[in-house]
Amino acid sequence: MRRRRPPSGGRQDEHARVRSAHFARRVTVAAGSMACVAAVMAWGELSLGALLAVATAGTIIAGTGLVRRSGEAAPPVGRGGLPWLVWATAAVSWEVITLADDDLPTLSDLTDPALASPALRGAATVCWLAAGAWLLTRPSARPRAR
Amino acid sequence: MSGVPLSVVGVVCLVVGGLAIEACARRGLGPATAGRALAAVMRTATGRAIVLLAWLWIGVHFLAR
Repeated sequence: MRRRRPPSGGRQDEHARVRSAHFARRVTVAAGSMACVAAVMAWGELSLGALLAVATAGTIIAGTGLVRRSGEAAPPVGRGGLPWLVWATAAVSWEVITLADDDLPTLSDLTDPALASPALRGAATVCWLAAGAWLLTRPSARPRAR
Repeated sequence: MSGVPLSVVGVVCLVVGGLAIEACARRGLGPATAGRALAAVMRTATGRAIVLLAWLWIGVHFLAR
């Protein structure tokens, strides 16, 4: 019967360090997200505090996605993406039409009354941050740093 | 029809259209799902920048402007 060699102390230390780093990163991300949601709920629309909170969180997430090259290794979709291209073109065109026509309220004009409620604004912020986290986790060709 | 009702109809049409495309994709009828299509756009540096900046703009415009 082969006897297994117990893991060396150095390897155990490294494993513990990696787990600790992952835990610390998760706690930092959770705390940052909660702070952003709380700031948007507390300060409300058209406030400098909410603008700073959203712009800071968004810049960090977008910057991380660009540096990590998130999505670089995603599989291509070929012609399957054409319906979404048409849909996105229609959505942008509609927004431009409503912006140009003073009688037509834009999408943000329509959502403003709902987002005036702190609870709904907080829920919308959580959804927005979740979408950002999803974008960050798209497959990257680069090996992730541990 | 003009004003708010027309604007609401436009947004509803866009939402229904998007849901229809997603339903077709999930039934394997040709289109890619929204998630796969969005991830595929991010394959290039330009597409990645456009998607991430659009996401950032949505947050600032709807939540904090």
